[in-house]
Amino acid sequence: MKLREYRAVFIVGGLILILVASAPTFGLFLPLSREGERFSELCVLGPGHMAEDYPCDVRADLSYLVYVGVGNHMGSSMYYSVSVKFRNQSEPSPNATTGTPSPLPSLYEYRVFLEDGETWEVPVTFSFSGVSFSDNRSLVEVFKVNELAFGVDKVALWDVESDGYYYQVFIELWIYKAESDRFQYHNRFVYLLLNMTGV
Amino acid sequence: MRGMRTLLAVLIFFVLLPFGKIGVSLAVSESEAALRIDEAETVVNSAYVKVLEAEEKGADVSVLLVKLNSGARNISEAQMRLRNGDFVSAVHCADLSVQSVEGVIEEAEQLKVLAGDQYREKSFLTVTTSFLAVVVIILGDVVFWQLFKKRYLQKLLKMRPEEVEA
Repeated sequence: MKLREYRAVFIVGGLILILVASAPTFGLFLPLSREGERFSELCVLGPGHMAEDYPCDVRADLSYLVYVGVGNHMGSSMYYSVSVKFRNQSEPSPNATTGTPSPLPSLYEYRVFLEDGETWEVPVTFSFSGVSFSDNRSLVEVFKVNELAFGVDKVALWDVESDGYYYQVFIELWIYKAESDRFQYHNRFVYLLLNMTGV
Repeated sequence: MRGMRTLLAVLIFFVLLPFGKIGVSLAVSESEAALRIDEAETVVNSAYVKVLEAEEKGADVSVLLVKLNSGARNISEAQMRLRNGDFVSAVHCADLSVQSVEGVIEEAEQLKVLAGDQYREKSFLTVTTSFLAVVVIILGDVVFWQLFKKRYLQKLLKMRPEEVEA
């Protein structure tokens, strides 16, 4: 190897070491993007904290337990609102395509702040009272969530295809936007399809 | 006798005064309750915005989020009670919410300043260390190169030409 070639090796080696030594400083001014996919989780679990044994055939005055969970993977702390709503088959549900929430009023609401990477789970018990059946129709007068009663007066018609009077308890996830100073629908919802079987 | 009656009236007035106050406070209208909830929401939301700012600066805001969560829980409770027509409880929950987040804005500001100071300190240390390391590398490279060159030339000078028969 000639002296000139050795000199090149020394220069290149020195430059590499300089780059390594100055990398932390570059890191300060050119922060590497940590952006992965940013999203929020919303889930509903059965009474055993598993995705099974969901209430399906329900009766009046019996209490049903599910767990609702929210996970924050948005890259910073988030302020969530979890709305519990109740509908019959003919009322509008949230639209995942257009990202619009159901226009039905929120009955029960949780609000929670979550750090990035944090998950939160809460038990939700619900029951029905004032249930009656007549002329292929069922009526639910009161829907209770966590012992708080809401007058709903929902009528469900007999579903010939599925053999039942079907209602839906659904849960929407909303997120607080500091720019607009209000909660916006986060296009996440989960639901439980319930067949009212008796009083 | 007249003096006694006045004294009795004054006494009765003072005894009944607290009940009167309670009576007044129990009479909360829906609009009043809604207004109090709105005010409480504004307080919680502004506290959250400050906490977000502190977090962006790199502050650990987990303690503040616990307080905010307490405020948020009370807000949702207040709204549900409002919807159910329990205006007194709604106002009570709204007040609790405001109490829960008391001091959060100031703490967030302090954490933000602290995080800013820590960032500056860390940046200074990083830049200084990098600079010193680069200087040491350049000097080391030059010194090693000179030593290497010297040894290389000495080795070259000691070499003798060899005769190779064709």
